[in-house]
Amino acid sequence: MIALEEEIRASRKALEDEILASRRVLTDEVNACRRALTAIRTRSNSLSPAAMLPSDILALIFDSLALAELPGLASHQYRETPNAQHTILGWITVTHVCSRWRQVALYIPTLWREVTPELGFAWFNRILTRSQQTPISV
Amino acid sequence: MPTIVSVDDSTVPGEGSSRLLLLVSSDNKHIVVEEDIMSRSRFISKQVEGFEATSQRHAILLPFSSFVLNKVIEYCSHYRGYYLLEDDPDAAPPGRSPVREWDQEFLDVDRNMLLRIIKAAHYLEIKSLVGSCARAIADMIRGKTTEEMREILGVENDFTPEEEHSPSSKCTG
Repeated sequence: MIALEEEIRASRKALEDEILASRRVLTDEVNACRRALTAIRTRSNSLSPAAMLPSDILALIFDSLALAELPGLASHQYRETPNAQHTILGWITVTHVCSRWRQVALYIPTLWREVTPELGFAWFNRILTRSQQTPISV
Repeated sequence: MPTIVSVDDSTVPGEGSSRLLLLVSSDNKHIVVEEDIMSRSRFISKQVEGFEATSQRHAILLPFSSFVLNKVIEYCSHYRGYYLLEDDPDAAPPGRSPVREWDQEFLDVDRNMLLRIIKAAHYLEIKSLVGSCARAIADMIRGKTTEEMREILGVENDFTPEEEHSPSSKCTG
């Protein structure tokens, strides 16, 4: 009887291990698919005129947007039901569009010249870092 | 750098006070335009200075279509003889002043055309037109969510899952 119970326990353990291993394999496959999808999207962006605009043109677009839509302030007047994150971030939303836009925006210190108190301390530090030596206004 | 080809005098009329330039688009259309109109383009001005140094007449080959080139010429013709502050080399970056009323109508084109115009203006170094286009594009995406911006400008989300979820990622800034 005891031997049978041990056998059942061992079988269950083996089965659980097998399920766990299968899950790991599936998770790896899902991650590989996600990475492949990201690579395809990056290639797709390389054919997108907007994603591949020269950096200095993107800088001008972002600069123009930064003047018009300050973080924490500007979105209310443009949206009937503003999304909370969007409303807070204003022009900074462009850094979430694609990796190239983010890369360009993060490396132009003059874009990060305004700090809005509503964004909080973490953002204050982040903007301070990104603005580098550019004078900022609060 | 543009390719410059020699041009027969008969190809380009216009001896005298109002000199003519021959611009050749990427679709091989030959467009004759008065030099005075294109003087807003620093690129063209530099090319013309080069021609004067060699006393030869040339065509300027440009890497964009005649459709786009004609739009740029239309812009330059409209502002012929006007002083635009944004074209001053010492002026603030273009795109900070409101888009002029005429420019708004002029730039009321589809997204792809607007992107082609800004790239052409950038190549030709016409700061005022680059600025107006930049402002027009900024106006298109102002107040929009990330998804809406992607849809408007035809851009894919190509962040990796790791970038999406790491503490210093786009999710937190």
